[in-house]
Amino acid sequence: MKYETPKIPEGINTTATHPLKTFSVLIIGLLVVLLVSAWLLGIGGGYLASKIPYEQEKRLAETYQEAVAPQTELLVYLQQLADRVAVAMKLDESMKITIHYVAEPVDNAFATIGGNIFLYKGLLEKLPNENALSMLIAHEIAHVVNRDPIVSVGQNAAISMGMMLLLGNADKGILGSTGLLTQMNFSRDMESHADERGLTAVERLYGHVGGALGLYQVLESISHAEPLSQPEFFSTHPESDTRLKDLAGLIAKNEWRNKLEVTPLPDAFSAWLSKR
Amino acid sequence: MTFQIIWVLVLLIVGYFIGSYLERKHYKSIIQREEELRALPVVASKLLPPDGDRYNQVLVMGNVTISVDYFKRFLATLHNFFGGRVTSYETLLDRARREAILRMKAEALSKHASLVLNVKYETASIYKGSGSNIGSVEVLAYGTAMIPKAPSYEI
Repeated sequence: MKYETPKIPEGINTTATHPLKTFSVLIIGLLVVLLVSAWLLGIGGGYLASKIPYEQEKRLAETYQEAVAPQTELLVYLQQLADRVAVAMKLDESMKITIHYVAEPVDNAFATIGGNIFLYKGLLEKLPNENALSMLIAHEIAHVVNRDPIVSVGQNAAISMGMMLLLGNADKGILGSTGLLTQMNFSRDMESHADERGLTAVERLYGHVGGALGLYQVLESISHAEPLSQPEFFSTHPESDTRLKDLAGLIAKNEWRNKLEVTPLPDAFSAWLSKR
Repeated sequence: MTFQIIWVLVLLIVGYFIGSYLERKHYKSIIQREEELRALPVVASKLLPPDGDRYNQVLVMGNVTISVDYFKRFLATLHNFFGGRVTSYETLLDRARREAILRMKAEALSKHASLVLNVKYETASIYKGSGSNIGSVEVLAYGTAMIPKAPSYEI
């Protein structure tokens, strides 16, 4: 018997495609899959969360409730203003708005679940009049009315649960480790709607919209003064230019009166702010 | 989190460059030694040649363990997610099989064999149970070396 030993051609058992090419195709595919599933989960979670009754949302927030803050004159004033804005917004009886004041030099304000609204000293100090303050509060109440905080919680919960299933990584609880009384991430759409609803409420409260847009000038001047550290209020918010333009369009459409006398803040307001 | 991502990227880059350098070097050596040892036939047939009684028969084997670099393992994980050919492990197994045959041939030649019959492979993945830390493959090639008997002079 005769055996031959032919030369075997190279590369018959391997693939010629460059590994880096395979790598980039696969990694891009994986990222697309992750992003699309996160997006779908976010939509689904947000939709389901928007169906949670407000009563249930309040109970969820209560478990994270902090100790009752002492009733300072400032807090009483802010709470009364918020109640007036709430009446102007024709809020449902069951939707109780609670104002919290944080004496920190942070240019921020946010609404979170259970109708809790947090106002920071840093931002309040810069507001020129009561109309701007009402606009700020009305904007945050509008988030509560639109159920934005609970939708945001639902979105985050669905996304983090999905990622936990996919990546097998459970270092955070479903509702996040920071608790619920923290700033939510709202989409630009949510912000625009809150702007519109807020401005409508301010018009109803004062009979005109003069001074309300002062809030946006304050926010813009803050972001101009510190271009590197955008105020948190701005981080997910639409460009202030487009916001102002949208609101100006809304004013023009409804023929709201604009250039009228603004209501000043109480005389003792700045004293209240600096009092500990 | 950022640190972890940077760490993975560094491992990927280091793994890719060192891994492909070592692979090129190994292939060069394989091709060269295959050419040197090509004269020795290695076959899977179990049948003895008709003049089989003129040979001594000895078991010869070649054994090799080769590990994958981080980049290849990462790529294989991606392949596992999407399915399809795990192309990054193809060169690994190709190298391991050819290296094992070469070592077996070298042993056979050192015994002055002229043919290796009944050649088989055994493949084992090492560290299979220890998570994704180490991925290496062991290939054992073994066969029956046919060593011609010294010519005897019968009266």
